[in-house]
Amino acid sequence: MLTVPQIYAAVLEVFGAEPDKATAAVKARALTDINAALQLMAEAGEDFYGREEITVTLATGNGIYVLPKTVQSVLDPVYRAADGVPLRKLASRGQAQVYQQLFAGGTYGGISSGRPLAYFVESLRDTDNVTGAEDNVKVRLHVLPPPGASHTGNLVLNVISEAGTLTEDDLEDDTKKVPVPHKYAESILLPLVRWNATTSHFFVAKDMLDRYREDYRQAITLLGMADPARTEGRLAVSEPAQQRERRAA
Amino acid sequence: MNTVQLAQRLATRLNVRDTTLLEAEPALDVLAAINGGIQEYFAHAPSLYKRTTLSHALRAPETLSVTFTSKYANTVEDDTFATAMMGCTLRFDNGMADTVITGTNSVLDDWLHDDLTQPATVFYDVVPIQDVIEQILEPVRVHDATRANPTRLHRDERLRGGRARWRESGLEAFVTAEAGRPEAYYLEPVGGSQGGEPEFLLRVAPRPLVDYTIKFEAELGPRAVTFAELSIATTVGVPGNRIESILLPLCEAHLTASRFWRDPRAAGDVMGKAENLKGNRLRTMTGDIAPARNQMGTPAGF
Repeated sequence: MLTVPQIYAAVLEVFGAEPDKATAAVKARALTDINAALQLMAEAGEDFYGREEITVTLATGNGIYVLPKTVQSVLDPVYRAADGVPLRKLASRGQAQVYQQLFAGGTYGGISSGRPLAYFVESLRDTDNVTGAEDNVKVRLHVLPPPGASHTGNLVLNVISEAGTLTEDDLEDDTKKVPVPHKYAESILLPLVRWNATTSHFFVAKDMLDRYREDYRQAITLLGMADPARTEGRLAVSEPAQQRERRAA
Repeated sequence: MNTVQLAQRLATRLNVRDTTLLEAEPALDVLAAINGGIQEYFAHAPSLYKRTTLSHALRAPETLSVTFTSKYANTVEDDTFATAMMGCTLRFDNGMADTVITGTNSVLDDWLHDDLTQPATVFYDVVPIQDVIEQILEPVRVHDATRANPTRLHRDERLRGGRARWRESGLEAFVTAEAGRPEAYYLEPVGGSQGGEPEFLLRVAPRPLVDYTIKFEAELGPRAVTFAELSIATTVGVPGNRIESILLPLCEAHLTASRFWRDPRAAGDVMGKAENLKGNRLRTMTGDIAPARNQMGTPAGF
């Protein structure tokens, strides 16, 4: 597994710079290119690169829970830890607003608590953190109906969190591994980082541009194929021969 | 097959990402299709599959004090009446015309006296007929608190006018007493079109003076599957050997109206299959699960 300094060195190679002689501007640009590539990978394969589980503890009568700010997306399934029964996703704020009448068969009036059956994820501007260090976003999970006294416990959420962001210190930390799963650092991350670096005015290895472009295209293709959970229309990484045939076709 | 399995089978007809994790809106379409299919199944299937025996207690009369909020009002003090008294006849000690209890704090008729408080007697002479009951099947009969044979009640709608019970001449004098052992019944509509519940009151005459049990068979409308039951499985109220072959196609035909329906070209075939089932298969289902053999000429003991 590549370390962060090794990736950093690869960027400096594109820039024609030595690690110990890189200026602050070069270092900052390299860091930007690496983080941009990590963000692209995190978004590309939701079921593979970024999926993780978090739990939300339900409280009697409470239908709204604020999720950690690092959560970017909530994926299916959202389910009760106790029995594994999934909650249904509501597609709009309107559906959440009229849940009692539309889905529970109730008439006009307040919503009754009971067994949670549906959820709605709402992203709001966090007015307490507009200019602060944290993101000014507040992600709220609406649970409908709000849990009754006998329906508390934990909800398990599959989420995508923000991509891991490296710092300048990480660039020189030999113990720091790149946060990419299944050794896709060389085949995917590195070509993405190099391609990002070609847009910099520090880019000097002009004769390598075509090679970097080709590596980038292959990396993007592999990014779509690499998720082992994706089988329809795509090939798993364990099928390199078929991948080559498809690419050739 | 349970409700979750049925929903999943239907969801395969929809253009959705994951048929096992339906979002709420397509799930609502599946729910409508399931209930539509079940309702059609029971609408066309022989009626014996909808029948059950119902029992209701007609209690002995109770006395209480009733205080009206004002003259010419039909409202009384809160919680004067229990929920079980809905529809029962109320008789006042002061000779005011009998009225009917319509809520925990209301009666049918306005109060016409200056004295607002009056002792009264509640006669438990009604059976609430909820909308789930499609049809009452005779015999309607009452038992008292012993093993004595039940009394079979006859239906006499003339009693609705309130005067027929006083006729005592000839063969029409079915009901001769104002109170006693019930002999007849009639149905009072309660404004179902206005959302009233129950839809009907089955009122007996004479009014019971002691505890009785009234029993009758009825055809019930199918129970509706709820949104929650698409997540928490319950048994579908159709015999298991008729779900895939009959119920599922009926439900699919309803589902073709969904905006999530995946294959418009298949919709015609699906609806045609459902029509064929309604016209043939459902009509030929047996209406008697224990048909008697022809015993003509059969020796005794065989």
